[in-house]
Amino acid sequence: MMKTKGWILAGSLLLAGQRVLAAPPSTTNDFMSPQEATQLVTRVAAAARDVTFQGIYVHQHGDNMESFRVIHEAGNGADIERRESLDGPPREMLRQGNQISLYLPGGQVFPMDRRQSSKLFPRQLPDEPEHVLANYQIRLVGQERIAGVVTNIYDFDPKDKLRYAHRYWVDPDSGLMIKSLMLGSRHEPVEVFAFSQIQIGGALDKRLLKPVHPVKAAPLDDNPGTTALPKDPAWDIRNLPGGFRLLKVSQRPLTGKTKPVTHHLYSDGLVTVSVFIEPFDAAAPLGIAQQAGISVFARQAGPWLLTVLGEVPVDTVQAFSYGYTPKGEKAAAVQ
Amino acid sequence: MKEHLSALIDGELDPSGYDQVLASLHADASLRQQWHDWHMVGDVMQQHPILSPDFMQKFSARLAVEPIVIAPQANLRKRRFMRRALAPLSAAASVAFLGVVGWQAFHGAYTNGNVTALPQVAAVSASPLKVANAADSNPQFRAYLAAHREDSGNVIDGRDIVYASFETKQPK
Repeated sequence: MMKTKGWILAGSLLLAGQRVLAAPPSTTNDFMSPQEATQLVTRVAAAARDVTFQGIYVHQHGDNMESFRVIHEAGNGADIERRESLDGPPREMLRQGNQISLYLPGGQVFPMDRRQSSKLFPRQLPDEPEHVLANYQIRLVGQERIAGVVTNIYDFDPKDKLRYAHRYWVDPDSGLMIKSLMLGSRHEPVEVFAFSQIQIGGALDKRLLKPVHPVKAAPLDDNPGTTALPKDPAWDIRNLPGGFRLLKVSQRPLTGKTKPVTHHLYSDGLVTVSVFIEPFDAAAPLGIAQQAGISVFARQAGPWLLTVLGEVPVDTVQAFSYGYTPKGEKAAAVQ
Repeated sequence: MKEHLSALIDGELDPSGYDQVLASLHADASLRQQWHDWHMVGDVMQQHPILSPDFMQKFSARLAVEPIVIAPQANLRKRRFMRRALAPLSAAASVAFLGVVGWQAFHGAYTNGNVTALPQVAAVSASPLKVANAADSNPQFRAYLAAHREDSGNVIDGRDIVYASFETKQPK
């Protein structure tokens, strides 16, 4: 028991400073008006695209912690971004507009989705504010100094119980996001991105944009999103959790599987949910699991194995799962 | 009966006497209180953090609201489903749940901001971290997670996950 308690404590320590702020924020309870909220989301999304910056950020999720260097050049039509891992195996990503080049262990290259791959920290807010504002309400909860920048702290509170709360620290001068935090169902920090050092604006040494590893161009996967349900002849799909849009449908290979699996990717503007469909395999683990803000639910549906996961509460992945019914079967027990 | 109870707690009671003591425990509330008190004394002497007085109530309430794996099938299959569901993937989930319990227990013992105690405890707890990683190290879970991340455009975050997709390309 002692050890368990200690580990919990260690966990909260790992996500150090956040604990204090993870507590219910001060008395500022006024949500921003839709106009103000739209303005804020638009500004933060635009700043990540239009502002030149360079810095080092830390990514913590669960008990993992990694740092990355990011250099972004904007202005005069340029949108060049280089990212490089500083811990663990070397990984690198160079994005020039829509063209992405990768260096990953083993040298493999993935097809990259254009709209998704530009969404890395500090560019997590969508370009269409209405998408995120349909699901979250925003309020200003205070100020804090992060990486030498005095930032405004905004809470994005979910309007329903289908998603988690998020908190963003924003530089009021540039509009740039300096830190982001996702809170779990018990309001505990589950994922953090935070600059530990950042230089906003100013001249950029062009040499910093040169890849240090042999990056390879990634094929571009430019599949436009749709709000229509996937038209899958084998499935009745209905009553999916509200506020999620289908981003794409693909057949993709998966580690340890001989055949490709069907993948439906949904987003609510801030987080994504994946639905994987494959022939049922008796050896597959079924049930619910939760880790570091990711919920997983696997079940058998007729002859299929249905696995749903995402950065959402358990109820949401379950609701997604029961929204899928194999054709010819009765709808799953109403949830 | 109290001597028997004391012997049971100390592990000195003959196994043939277990049933009788447990039956009296079941029937006699004062005996249960005695059981509780002795354990509390033991906890204090061994310097275990003391649970809050209403710990059991809170625990039961918490347990009641924990998500339940729902299977639309018949009862029998449900049980099998539960077992299979819970065994491989949810080691992490149970650790997380234990964690909640542990955290509450901890609250009963200390105030929230006991900063000086923290580094020590953190140092002791290095080993259980691995357990919490069980879902991470489950190759199937990681494969789905890697696919989820890749299709969300996030290929460089999370070295474990990068490794997961890397493993596919390696000869066995």
